[in-house]
Amino acid sequence: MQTARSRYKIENGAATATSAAQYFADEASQPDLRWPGPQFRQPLSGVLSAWLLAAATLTAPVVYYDPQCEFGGAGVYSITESGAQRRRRLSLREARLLALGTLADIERRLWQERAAEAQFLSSLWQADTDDLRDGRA
Amino acid sequence: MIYETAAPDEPIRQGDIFRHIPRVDASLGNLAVIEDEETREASWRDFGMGSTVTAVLPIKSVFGIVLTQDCDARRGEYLCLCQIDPFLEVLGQSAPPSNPKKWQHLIINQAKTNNRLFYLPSDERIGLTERMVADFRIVIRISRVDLEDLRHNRIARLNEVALSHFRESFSHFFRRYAYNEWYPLTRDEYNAYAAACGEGTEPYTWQR
Repeated sequence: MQTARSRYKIENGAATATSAAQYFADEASQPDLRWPGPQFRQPLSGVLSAWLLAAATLTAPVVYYDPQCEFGGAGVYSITESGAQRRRRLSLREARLLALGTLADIERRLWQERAAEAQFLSSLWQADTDDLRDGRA
Repeated sequence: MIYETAAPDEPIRQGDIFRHIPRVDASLGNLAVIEDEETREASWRDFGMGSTVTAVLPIKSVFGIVLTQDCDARRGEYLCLCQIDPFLEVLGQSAPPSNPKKWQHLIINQAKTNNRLFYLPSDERIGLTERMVADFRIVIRISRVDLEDLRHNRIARLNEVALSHFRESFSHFFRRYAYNEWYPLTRDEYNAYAAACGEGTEPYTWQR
């Protein structure tokens, strides 16, 4: 049907009217090959259908969807549950500050831990040697 | 003293000391992750097994000494170094010992008691302006190709005597296993130990 219409050019003035008349004449002479479209029939009518609809609505099962349960053991869970939209966006400056904060935190803990361990071990040895020297061992 | 110089074209060996080694740190709970041209705060737990993540991470320049043995250092994809830091700072001491007797006491004391540290004396010729220690608990992994590109940062290597001590020290550190040193004590000895130790210890049934 669509390809047939390409025969009729849209032109100005009388030529346009002639073409249009020709088109509709051709259309009328051709068999109707168009799909007739959906044809609905009302299986039940009136009050009965309304009652059935109400009953179906009230008795429909409630489906509970728990993504954690559904995808808990699957590899896609982390993507589903904690997608990018749930994480806080950072500017480049904030990202840099976060990285530098990480470094400062690690450095602080490292130096504290090393000093505490060294002093503890040293104190044990110091006490032992003092005792030996003083004849208290 | 205990150092030798290495020509720039010499292969990397165990005990080689480098300056300006990059140490990359990450806090897995607070990552600045780059996703789809955006940067977001995330935790490593947010990502599934096998994920590949790009993130903004801090890199600190440190001194390091090569742990990897010579053969692996020639052909392995990665080499391991441990970080070197100033001796007194690691010990948390602000004031240096006032005389050689106290210095030797401190150095020997640490060598006997602190397995994680390996003492490195200062040497102006190689750029170690103060006494340093290698910390076996801070291991840095670097691509061999990258470290070979950084050979101009190699300031020295341990001489034969120092290298054998270094080798034995870190081997001992990684070979030892945790055990409860108080297990053979009597009840009274255990009580004295627990009081002196300060950390939470549990007596065995024969010590109760």
